[in-house]
Amino acid sequence: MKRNRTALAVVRKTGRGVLVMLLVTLAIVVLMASAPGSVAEVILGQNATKANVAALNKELGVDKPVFEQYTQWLSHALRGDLGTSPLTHQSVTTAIAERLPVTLELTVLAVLMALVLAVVFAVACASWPGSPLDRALTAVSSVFLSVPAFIAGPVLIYFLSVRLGWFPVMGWTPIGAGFGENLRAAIMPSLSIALVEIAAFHRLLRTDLIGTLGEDFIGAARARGMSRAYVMFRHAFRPSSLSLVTMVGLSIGRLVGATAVAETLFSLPGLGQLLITSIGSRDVVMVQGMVAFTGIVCVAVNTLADIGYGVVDPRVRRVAAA
Amino acid sequence: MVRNRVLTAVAGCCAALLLAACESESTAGSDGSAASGSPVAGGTLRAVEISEPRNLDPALLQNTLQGTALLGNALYGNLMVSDEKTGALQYRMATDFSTKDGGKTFTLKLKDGLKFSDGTALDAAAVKYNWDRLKDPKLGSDSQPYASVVKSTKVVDATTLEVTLTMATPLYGEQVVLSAMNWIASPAALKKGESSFDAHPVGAGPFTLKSWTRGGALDLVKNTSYYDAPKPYLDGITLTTSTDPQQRVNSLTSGGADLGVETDWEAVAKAKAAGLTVETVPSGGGRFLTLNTLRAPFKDVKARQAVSEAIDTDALNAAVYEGKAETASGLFPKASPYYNDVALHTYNKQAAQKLFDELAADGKPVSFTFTAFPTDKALAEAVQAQLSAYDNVTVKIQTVDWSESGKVFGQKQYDMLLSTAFFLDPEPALSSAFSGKSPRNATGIADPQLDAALAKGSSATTDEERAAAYRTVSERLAALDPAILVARTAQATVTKKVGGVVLDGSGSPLPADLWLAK
Repeated sequence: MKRNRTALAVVRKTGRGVLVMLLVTLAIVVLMASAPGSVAEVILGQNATKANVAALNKELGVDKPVFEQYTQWLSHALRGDLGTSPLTHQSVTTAIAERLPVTLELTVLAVLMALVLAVVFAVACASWPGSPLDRALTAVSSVFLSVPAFIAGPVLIYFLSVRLGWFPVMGWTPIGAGFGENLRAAIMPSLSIALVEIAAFHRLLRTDLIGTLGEDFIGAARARGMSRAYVMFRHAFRPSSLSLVTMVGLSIGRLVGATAVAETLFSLPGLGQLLITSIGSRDVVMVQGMVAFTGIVCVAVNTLADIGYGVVDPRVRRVAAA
Repeated sequence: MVRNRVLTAVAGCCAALLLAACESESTAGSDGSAASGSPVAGGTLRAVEISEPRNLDPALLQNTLQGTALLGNALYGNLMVSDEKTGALQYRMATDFSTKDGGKTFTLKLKDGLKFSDGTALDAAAVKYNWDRLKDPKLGSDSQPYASVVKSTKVVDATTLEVTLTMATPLYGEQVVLSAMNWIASPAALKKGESSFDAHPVGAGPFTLKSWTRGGALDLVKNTSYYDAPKPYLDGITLTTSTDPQQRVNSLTSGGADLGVETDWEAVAKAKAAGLTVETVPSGGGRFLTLNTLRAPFKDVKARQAVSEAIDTDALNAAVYEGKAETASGLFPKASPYYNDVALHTYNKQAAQKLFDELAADGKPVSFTFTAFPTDKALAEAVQAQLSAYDNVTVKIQTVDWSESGKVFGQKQYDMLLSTAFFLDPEPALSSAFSGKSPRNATGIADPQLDAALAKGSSATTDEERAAAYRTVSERLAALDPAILVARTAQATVTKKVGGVVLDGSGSPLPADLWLAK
């Protein structure tokens, strides 16, 4: 009986994920079709007379109704073929495979930086709520929250690269060419996108920790003579991190957007930069394939976050099993 | 007390950072000098370009400084180059490109024994193949209009190609130098298709492709079979791309790059201030506010004159380029043999208002849209702000994406926009920009006197004749006002400890000559 319910829940979640994917990819086709300009005009450049554009549109199959283009793309995508860019003649799957490691590394580094700093900040704040330290860290966090990557990037470049020369201004070094150099190229872009997440994670965890530390069971634990650190990490931290897990899952979508900015600013060969370039050149095939891929990743991460609740909080496991 | 200590510590840190900042600035200035002396072999040059190539097919590369000229010159070499001071043709892989009938036919002679990097011959047949395919409009080559001037080509022998043009063009060599016609790729490699060619481009240039991470770095290595040994001096070149001028200059000042190409006046000024070496070619023409003479309101010369007299280019320079751009009133720089004192544009507020009032009284008040690409928004807003001081003129701004540039220019869907026409030798840029017969004439102006003067300038064989023709061109442009010269273009190559910086006609450095100081 329990197994059937779990299977039903998985089917329901998967169904929802598939529906989200269909809607997102359809929306992107409609949006790209509504945007001015076309890939044919980009290919033809100043030879883009009306006749030339019409002929090339026909050749590329983008003169067909939007829904027909979408169903054709979908039937190929379901067979694992995301298409080939008419502009670069590169297959979408190859382009994604080439660029994924960069975006993945930036995202993972950013999440790690954000989590480590947010946990340190939140624990410090919740340990002495209302203290000058709490107020100072909350103020710093407010500054981080209001500094998007396109502002943080140039500021970091100015101080850490141009003035101090610690990190390269732009460009990427793959791990294969040296781990140290790879890390030097990745730290500043990751930090620029992590700042907002540090603030968001810190504020959420601080509030949850302060709430949890006021619960009766925490008082009971303290009364039994347990140390502050033990109570904080063994009793308060786990139940307080439930919202943080949700937030980390949701932040993936935000981070994809932020990596696009950072990759463009720092000239990094990642998925975000490719997406921006492809949108600019109206490369619908590339954009559609990348959106589908990003969508799958976001849906998968959020599903994993849902599963993560059960691991963090036994109450969720009990509700799911009931 | 504790707070005071914290404040003191913070102030100390700030002072330390400030000191570090001052130190690093003076260091950048001291080591940015150009390398001099004999060329040094070895090393990998790190260069920053403005545009990333879409493909490595030479037909799809842009032979401009802001395009992909450095890459094209590296992979495919040059049939000819133009002298960076005089614009005169100099032969590289070609030994001759001359005409005996006033520019109707040319004979191209190639050096003996030229080889592509795969060992196959770079011969007249290969040149014919490359030039013929450039004409196909479906290929979308930026150089298609230049190649289309060729009516037919005939292979005489392995090193000789006879070229017949559709119209007499005595200075056609200059068009070859400034277009993708100067870059010859292996026909066998091209026939394998774009994907294969992008992975293994085959040319006869000083460098070959090692690896290309799209959106990242393009690594080139020395072509050991390059015809002009001991060049190239470098072991390799790593090309990266940034569309942000500040990033390009920051990369050079912080030691992340050795060479950068630059078209932004503010970035050029910043590079000079940082002590970097800045090389430019003394180009004429520049950035023009282009008025579409094919439709209202600028079909009427009076409306064009009114707007031209209303615009203060010095104020535009201050507002848009922080006063760093080189403004000019005439078509040619003083160093040019074709220099004349005809001012294309005169700022006269009262005269402009009078013209606007007269047009309004005739029932034709001036109202137009400035079509601005993302980088031109500040200029459009500055023009709008200036003209808002006048009565009877309305300016709207329409921002368009770069992806629409083909359509906007190709179908002339604008009233006013910013376009560029710069040159070392006036041909082919001037005719391309202002001849009534040119498909690239963004103003749409078609004036018989102007066309005749451009044709004369193009066909004359002495500097005196050409200077006279270009004086007429300047006078006609001043009278017809199809475009307002805002500023010269910043065609600069910025380097740090790099020697052998030789610029070709578009202001691009020739990679075979570059070397790194030890």
